[in-house]
Amino acid sequence: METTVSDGKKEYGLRLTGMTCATCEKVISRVAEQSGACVKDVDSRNGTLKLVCDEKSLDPIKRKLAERGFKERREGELADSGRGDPDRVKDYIFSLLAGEPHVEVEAKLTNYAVASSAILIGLGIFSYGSLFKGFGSSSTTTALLLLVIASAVMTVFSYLHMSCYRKSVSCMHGMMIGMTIGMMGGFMTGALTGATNGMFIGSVVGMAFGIALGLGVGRFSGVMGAMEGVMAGLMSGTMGAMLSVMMINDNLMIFLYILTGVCAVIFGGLSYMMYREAGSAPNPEYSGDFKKFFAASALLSAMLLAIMMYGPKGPIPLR
Amino acid sequence: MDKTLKVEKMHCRSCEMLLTDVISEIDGVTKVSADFRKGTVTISYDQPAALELSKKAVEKEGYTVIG
Repeated sequence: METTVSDGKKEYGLRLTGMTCATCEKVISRVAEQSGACVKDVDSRNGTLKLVCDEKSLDPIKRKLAERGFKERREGELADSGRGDPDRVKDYIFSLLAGEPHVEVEAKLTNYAVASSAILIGLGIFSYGSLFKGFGSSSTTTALLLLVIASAVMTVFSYLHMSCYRKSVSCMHGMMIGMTIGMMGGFMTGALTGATNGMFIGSVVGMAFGIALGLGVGRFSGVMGAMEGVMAGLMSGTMGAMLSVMMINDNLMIFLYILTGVCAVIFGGLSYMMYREAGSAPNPEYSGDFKKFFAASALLSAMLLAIMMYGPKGPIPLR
Repeated sequence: MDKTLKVEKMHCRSCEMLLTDVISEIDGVTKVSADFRKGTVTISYDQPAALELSKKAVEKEGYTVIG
């Protein structure tokens, strides 16, 4: 697209690949302006650049942009041509394992999660005979204990990670955050308490946890995220309990393993999504320290186990 | 003289390009390379003032120099 402006200069609209963030916009603007163009608009979301320059300058600008990875886009090609590339996910995971600075918060929280899980499992083993009774066989009791700890640790990880993006996310991202954490938190707590305490307690507890978590993180982007979180918590809390009760005689424990595993993948996906969409966590101070992580995980685990064991109907012995 | 700065908040290739661009425009800077994975910017310079100016330029772009 081109429009004549004045002095032989024209306004051109370019559609570029490779634009992913505000820094890409800065780099592109600098390249164009250093070549004598006047940048009217650069938008990484749409992958577009509007600039005013003479015709002779346009090709050198395009060439310089291409050298930096911002090539002119063909019809139908995505602005961020790397989207959907599995290598990006692999790259992110390796960066996380290596503890690279751009994923420092994620690496720190992963270490906290591993350490907290180990301590909580240790405490569980220590108090196994005295505290955890009535869940059925010892293998079922052990499995439920591990599932509760895993659920609590994953939820705390995700909550603290998303806290680092507070006030710097769009409504759309905020809705995604509220929905994911509200839904996964509600689903897991609803399913675990529903399995050991029946439909009513499971639904109420699942809803309460899901709504609290969804509201807690959804509010970071305002009322839209908060509403989305609350609704997701409401829906998943009841659904988790309902599914557990329906499967009570049909491989419920296997379902709980699968559910927890899928939730772990989704929580991981949420962290990756935010990193990809909003960059490195902009407010790392909200991720807290190990004490905070461990205390929150222990409290959540203890609350869940207490409800599962001492709830009005619990615990229902599972097979 | 060479100096490697530890820089926070770099997260992609564009961050590397931006910092390389702004620092290389400073008088006295002879070579720059940035690595967002390591969170470092390595500067070669022949005027002592270039280092401080480079740090200021990095901060001006919204990054934090921590060492």
